[in-house]
Amino acid sequence: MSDPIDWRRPHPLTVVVLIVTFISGNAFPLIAVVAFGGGGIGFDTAAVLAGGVTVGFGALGWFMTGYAVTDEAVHYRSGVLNRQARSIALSRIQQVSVSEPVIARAVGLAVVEVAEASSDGDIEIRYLGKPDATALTERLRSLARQREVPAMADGVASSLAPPPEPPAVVLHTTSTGALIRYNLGTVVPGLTGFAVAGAVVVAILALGPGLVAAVPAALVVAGVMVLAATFSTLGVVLTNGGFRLERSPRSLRVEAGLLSRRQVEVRPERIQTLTVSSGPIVRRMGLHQVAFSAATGKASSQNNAIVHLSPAVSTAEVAKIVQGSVDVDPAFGVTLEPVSAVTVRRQLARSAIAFVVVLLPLSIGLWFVHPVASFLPALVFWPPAVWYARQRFGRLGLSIDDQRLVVRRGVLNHHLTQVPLSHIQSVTTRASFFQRRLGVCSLDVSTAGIGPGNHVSVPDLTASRCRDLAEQLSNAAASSRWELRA
Amino acid sequence: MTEEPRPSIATTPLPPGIRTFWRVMALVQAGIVAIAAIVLGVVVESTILIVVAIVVVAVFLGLRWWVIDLDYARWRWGVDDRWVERRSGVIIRTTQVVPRSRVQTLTTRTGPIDRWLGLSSIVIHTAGTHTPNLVIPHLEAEAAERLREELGA
Repeated sequence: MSDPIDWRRPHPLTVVVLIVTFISGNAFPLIAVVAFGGGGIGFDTAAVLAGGVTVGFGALGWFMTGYAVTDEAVHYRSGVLNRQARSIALSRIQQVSVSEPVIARAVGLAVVEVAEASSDGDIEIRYLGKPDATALTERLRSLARQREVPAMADGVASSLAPPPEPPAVVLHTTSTGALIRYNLGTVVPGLTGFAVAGAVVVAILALGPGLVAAVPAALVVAGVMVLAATFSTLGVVLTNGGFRLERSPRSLRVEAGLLSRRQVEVRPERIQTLTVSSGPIVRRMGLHQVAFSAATGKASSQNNAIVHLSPAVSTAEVAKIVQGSVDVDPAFGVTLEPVSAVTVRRQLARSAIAFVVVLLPLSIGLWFVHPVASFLPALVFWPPAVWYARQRFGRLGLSIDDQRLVVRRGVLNHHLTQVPLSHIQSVTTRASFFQRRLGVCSLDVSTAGIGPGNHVSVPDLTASRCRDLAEQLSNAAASSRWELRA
Repeated sequence: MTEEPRPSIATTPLPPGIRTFWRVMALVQAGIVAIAAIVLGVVVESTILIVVAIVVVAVFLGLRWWVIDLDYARWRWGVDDRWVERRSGVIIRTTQVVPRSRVQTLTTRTGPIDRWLGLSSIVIHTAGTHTPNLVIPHLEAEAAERLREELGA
């Protein structure tokens, strides 16, 4: 590069955030230094030493960090002892977002996260003043846009070609009440196992030592459940509170979080899959989760919060979000074709194996208690197993047109996933020994998304349909233009 | 999308030398297990353990020998102007198709035994984290190099 990079330092208050982070991360060693070191070199000296190290760490951390934006790329370097430098070409930028971790937020700072589609992760510029962060984000977004090839779009996105920017439309805001109901609706089924185990223990205690032991045990069980539900709900409200999804002509924007606030932007044409899902209880409440899988940075990155987008959406609003977000089939999988009915038999065979491994020993044991009792496990196990196998078959289905593949599955938790055909990365068919005997085969379609929901699988299609679909999908994928960077 | 049906790709088997590679690997693995069993048998002074272990290892080695031929017979790969395709698997048969426009990165991998046999593997990476990368193992080094150049072009 001919012109030298014009490195800039983060906001000076970064020192404060680094110090607080250092203290919270190294509380035990610091206390140990003061407590034990105090004996040898005196408490004052030890405290000054520990304080000096902490402040020095913060100051050096700030001093050694630099970021720069050139005509070609974003650069970032950091680290006191282990120096790291990373650059992302402007044309490779997938997503730029701002997040405000709680400590930084307290002093008015924010993190700018620049994501590309590699597994190396994001560049996280720590920390800038809020106005600077917003300005830098906007600048990077517009630079990334300018670097784009105008003809990038597949059929899907070309219809989104920009007229002069109209204002962003708010597609969805999630109320705190809906968040709480949604979370309780998902946590409660998870707690049933614990509740059943607790009830058994309480019953045993009531029959054995009596109520003196049973009542406190019941209180403990109830208390743990209430605490678990409260804390998880609190967590969800803090991370997703004030959730807001906006659609501007060229991007989707998410803003969420009460303590740490994040703002994520994703381009609709970069959305790899879109999934609407709901559990058994929240479905009764008319709530759903809408999730987009985008092709950005490392899977653990907060940017992937976009993967868990919109946790509590009413049925009526799903269609609105889905239509407003990406170019999707508005009816979202109108008529679905079923998979082979053989799948019921395969599911029952799996259940039979589980029964033999887990419950048969129990049945044999019960035989010695009472011969009739040995049938009890089978009576309890099989009706739900048969119901499940039938339901599973009934729910499994797919639809395909020249734009997209829709797959529906799930008995208790329902999932409906759409994949634009132009985003397919690879198509795999698999047939195990048993599947071949039954004339069926499974299809697996991968996209460039990262994390859960980046692929769809359809089990037990008839072999010929499986082949045809694989053919059609790989054909569609190969004939559409696609580049990760768009 | 009105596409002409995908013409089936002309597929190639892996080079015959790969059977030698797989057999060497099987022998090495069997050898390690056998030696471990013998050492254990000597330590606990149990002749039966040694005999049983050697019989088990021999049976597995025999099976592997047989499966290697089946595996080799099933393994096909092919590249045309639009796709890379791979078929493999004796018990679970897998067909993996990657459109060439989706190839992100190409890696050539050569281990010590590979080098001895003049083989080298090609790994084709696509974007995303779900699918395992498409690996065409142990091609003749020259063919691998040609393939890499062709796919990279």
